[in-house]
Amino acid sequence: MLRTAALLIAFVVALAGARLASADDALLADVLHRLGENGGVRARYHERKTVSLLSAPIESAGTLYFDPPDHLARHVEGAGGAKMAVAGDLVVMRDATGEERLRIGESEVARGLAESFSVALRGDLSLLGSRYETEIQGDLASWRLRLVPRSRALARLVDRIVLEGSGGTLRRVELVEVGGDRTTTEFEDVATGVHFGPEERARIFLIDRAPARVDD
Amino acid sequence: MTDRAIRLATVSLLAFLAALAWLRLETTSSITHFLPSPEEAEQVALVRELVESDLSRTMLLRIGGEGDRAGAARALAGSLRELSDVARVQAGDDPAAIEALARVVFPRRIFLASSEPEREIPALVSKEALGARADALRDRLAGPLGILVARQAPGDPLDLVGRILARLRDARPASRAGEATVLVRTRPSAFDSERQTRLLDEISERFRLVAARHGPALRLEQSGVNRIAVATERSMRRDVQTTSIVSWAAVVAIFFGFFRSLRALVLAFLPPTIGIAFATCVAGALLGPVHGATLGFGLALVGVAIDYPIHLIVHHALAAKSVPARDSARGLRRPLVVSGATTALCFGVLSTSRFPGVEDMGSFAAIGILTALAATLFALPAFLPTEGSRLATPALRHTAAALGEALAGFARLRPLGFGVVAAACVVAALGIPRVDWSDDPAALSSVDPSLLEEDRRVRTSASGVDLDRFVVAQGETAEQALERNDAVYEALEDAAASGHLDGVRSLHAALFSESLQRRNLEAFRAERDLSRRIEDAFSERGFERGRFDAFTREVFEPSALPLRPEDLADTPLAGLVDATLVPVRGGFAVVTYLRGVRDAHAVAEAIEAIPGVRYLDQAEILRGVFEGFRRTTLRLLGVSALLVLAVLVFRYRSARRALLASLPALVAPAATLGVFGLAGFEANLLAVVSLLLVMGMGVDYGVFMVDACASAERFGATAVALLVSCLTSIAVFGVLALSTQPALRAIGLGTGIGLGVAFVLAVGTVALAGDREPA
Repeated sequence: MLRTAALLIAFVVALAGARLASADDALLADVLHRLGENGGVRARYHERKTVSLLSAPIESAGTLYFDPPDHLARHVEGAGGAKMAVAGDLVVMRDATGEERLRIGESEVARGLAESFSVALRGDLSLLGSRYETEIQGDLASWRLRLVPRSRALARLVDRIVLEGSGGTLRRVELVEVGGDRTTTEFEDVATGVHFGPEERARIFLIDRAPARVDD
Repeated sequence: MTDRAIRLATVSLLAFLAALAWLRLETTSSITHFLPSPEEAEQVALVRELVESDLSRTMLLRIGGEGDRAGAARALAGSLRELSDVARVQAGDDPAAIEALARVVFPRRIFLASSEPEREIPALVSKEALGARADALRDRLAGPLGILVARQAPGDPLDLVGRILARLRDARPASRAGEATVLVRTRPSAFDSERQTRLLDEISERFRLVAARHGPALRLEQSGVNRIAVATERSMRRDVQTTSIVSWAAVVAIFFGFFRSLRALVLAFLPPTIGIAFATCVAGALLGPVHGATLGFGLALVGVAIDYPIHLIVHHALAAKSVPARDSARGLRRPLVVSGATTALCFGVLSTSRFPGVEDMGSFAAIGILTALAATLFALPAFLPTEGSRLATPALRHTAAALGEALAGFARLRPLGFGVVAAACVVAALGIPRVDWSDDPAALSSVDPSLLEEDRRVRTSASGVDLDRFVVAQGETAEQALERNDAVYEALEDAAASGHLDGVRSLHAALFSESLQRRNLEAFRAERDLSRRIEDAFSERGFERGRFDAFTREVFEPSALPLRPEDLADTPLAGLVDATLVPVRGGFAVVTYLRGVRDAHAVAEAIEAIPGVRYLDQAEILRGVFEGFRRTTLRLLGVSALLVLAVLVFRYRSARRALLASLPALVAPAATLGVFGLAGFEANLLAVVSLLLVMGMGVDYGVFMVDACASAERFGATAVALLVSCLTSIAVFGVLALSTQPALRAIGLGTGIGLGVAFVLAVGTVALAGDREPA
């Protein structure tokens, strides 16, 4: 009898675990679906970087732009503010000293860093699953998604990326590096369904001038 | 020996020689065969070695258009690596290769920090510079790639790797956005057309398969010396095939017209064929690889040496009574031997040239002509019927009779003879000063302009360099060449700053000499309190103390040895090393390519004080070589003319008869050049070679005609034999004037015009000879 009870308890626990896993999958799918439904996004961000080399964190603020499926840009506030954009395979960084253009190619590290959270904004569940191990907690009103890189090359640098949000709105991203350094980005004034016109698109995502050369 | 035995022996010998030539002959198509001997011209020797080096084996492939360009480049590179004729392949964005580069460069960042360490390193580690560096590092840590910067910074707070990568950026072929590059180094020489043709076809086919998977709209553009060489050879071969068909059709028509017999045609070609086969065997045995141009020139001997069998066949066919062919040959022996010997002498003089290729042509021609002459005198009679009249057709007889009468009439018109010669001399005098000489090697071949444009576009957009001008630093060892190259870089950077050129593409960007690398290390070590100064400057800007010990430790205990060329073998810079560090006779050469040269003289001055270093303008050098070749050949033409005259004086024991016999040989080439000048035809060294052919055949015409003047019987036969020879030679050579290739066209025009003038001058000698004189 005791043995039967133990089996029954194990069965119920397993069933509860399975239901829990199913519920997580459903939440993840729902969250990504809502994120994907946002279309173009514009949001103000505030970023805080804790780097072991530095005695105090670095703080910056600016505006983030996302035009699905693969255009992402950050414009830092202030005079001479730097701009960074990812447009497909190309990463462009521009500041007061000049401009650099790099092609990501098949570099897992470069791709992982450039798309650290935009891959979630695309709402592509299968793509997210192929790049990261996923674990989601909470509910639709307040969710927390933890991503651990599957790529060994990226995993040597990045321990985890944690996204927090509500419904289809991303509120906070934290990237924790293997050495303990971390970058926390909080978003506010999030506008979704943004449509970028051709000129605006070129200006924001830094494809507004033909490059002289691109480094491979 | 019976005629049957001679025929059997002749055919057997021909078969043996042909088989031997086919089996043993090695050919080359390298331009270096027509450059002067290395001992004579150091610069040219260097150019010839560079032409044969890996520089000419490098191809650049660019993939553009809609689709996965990067993926296509990697797939194509992977596919090409399977080919045995590919020595090395690199796709521009291969992550493994880039990672290999990082692994090679980072541990050597101290060694590669600066081209002028004694000046720049103290400035790099000054208080102000360290403060600025700390601020820049802070900004980079805040940026999107901060995660990577944070890992590298403890070992490289001064961002020496950034300095090195900025230098390397100029050293690698760059891609435009939207294009991917693949660098290919081939195993066979760019001038090995057979293997290169197969390789180029493979590249096209493999790209087609790659594009099917990565984007059907992808397009491939290519650059490489091999493509130009293969395209040129294909074009020339097509031309030769076309002109050969026309040529053969004309020759068959001529022989059918006069002999109505294929037998006469075959017999006429027998001695020249034996001559060429024997000369080929001798060349193959004694000269090593024979240049294609030498063989081509040898084949042209058919048109020269065919004169001898034509004369024997015609005279035997028109003999007044049936005599054995051997008797006909005996009767013609003296004029045949004299004309053959003088013709061989004309070409043999070329073997004294300082150009190995030209020496070969001269030796080949002389051996071939003498062999053809011997075959005409001793073997051909065995193939001719005793009743020579069986070969004669009414056309041949009538033409002989008509020409005999006409020439007999000429013999009484001495002023006409003077007029012909004077007219030729006037044309020469007026036209030669107007001749437009072209010594540009590129003008000798006609390549599809779109091919040349694609090549130029791909190469110059990748590196922007002028491929014809470069600076070469030579040394007995690679280290010595690299040391000199370091000095070249400094000098050319100064020249660029002064506006004499836009820039350089130099191996120095990626690789210093070991001595310069060690100077970098010593320069850092010489800085007192380096560790404390870095700590102070960085901590003032918010950095934690003690975070940069790894860097100062590296200064005093380097984790790697200085960079060597072989260390870059598996990195994206391997192609740069292959293209610039070249083993040459006596050591190594490092080639620096130049961009936008505005003042070549200033560039040459900038580097002249550096030992073992030269400024080379390859196009100018080759132009000078070809000009030298042309002038040498013209001079040898003059020497040949004097030798021919001397031999004829010896033969005739009469200066007047010798001069008459040599008139066509002496005046026809000059008049031909005059026509070039008056008609505005561009003259090049191939035109000069054609003048040699004209001289060789002209002396035959003159000797035969002067000897015929002594005998009434021979007059008509000699005249029609000369006519058949002239028409046959024009059909063999003159048809080349229709070619699209400038080199072949020059030979066609030169020989076509020259032979016509030579024939007219030969007729003129009849008038000048007056009444017939005893031989």
